[in-house]
Amino acid sequence: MSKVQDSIDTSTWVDDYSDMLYNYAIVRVNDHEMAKDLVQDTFISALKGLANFQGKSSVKTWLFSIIKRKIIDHWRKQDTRQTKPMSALGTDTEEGEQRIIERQTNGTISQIEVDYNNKELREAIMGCIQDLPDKWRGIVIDKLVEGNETEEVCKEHDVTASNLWVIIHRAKVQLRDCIELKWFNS
Amino acid sequence: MITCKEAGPLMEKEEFEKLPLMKRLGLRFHLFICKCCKGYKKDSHHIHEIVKSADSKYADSALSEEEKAQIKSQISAN
Repeated sequence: MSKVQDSIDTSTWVDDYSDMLYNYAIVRVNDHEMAKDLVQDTFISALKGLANFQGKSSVKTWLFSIIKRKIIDHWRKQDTRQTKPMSALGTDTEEGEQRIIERQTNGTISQIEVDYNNKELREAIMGCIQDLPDKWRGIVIDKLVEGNETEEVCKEHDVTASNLWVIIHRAKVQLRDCIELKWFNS
Repeated sequence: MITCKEAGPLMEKEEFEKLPLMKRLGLRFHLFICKCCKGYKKDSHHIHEIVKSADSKYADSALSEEEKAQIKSQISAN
């Protein structure tokens, strides 16, 4: 083994990185067991591929690049398993149709109080984020939930800035309709 | 003239950065005459605030020490 690998102490990885990897995964998959498995698989893949680690980035960055790929794979698998009725909304519907959907709910989003400790609301939001198309979901989490820099998000998801704002807008319209439906009609 | 299709993304951009003068004026004018976009504009910031609560820092689930121990043993078994 080369010097780069020799200088890495893998025995502390779980203690050092599992929490941050788990936090990254849980928002994106909304399932505790699945997030845990993704973290575990990330460590296993990293150890198997340790010989390929060049030391050009930090171990943390490298682990995150692995879990990002695993999450995208997970989304793809999930997509073929189930169809999502909500993804039909917002994708290509005209403004007018969206209004009709909005009118069917028994309340509007402005009536929902922002409360980060409200578990029920959090569940509803997480569910609605999961219903977004894959491409939108990653962008919404990176930009709206975690508040990363626009430039960084565009680079990560390979979209132009103007495209990013179109996606954010459509996603927010879908999220609004979905949250209103979940919150007031069920 | 700014259309609804352009106004939506512009409103999102404006939440994060200052728009160029002409875009800003165009958007203001559009919002003045378009009821639909004006309605969305009213909700836009609130939708963002609500979506933010998905952040893992507000979650009460985390990996327990037992689960971390399980991961450790799974890793060494591989």
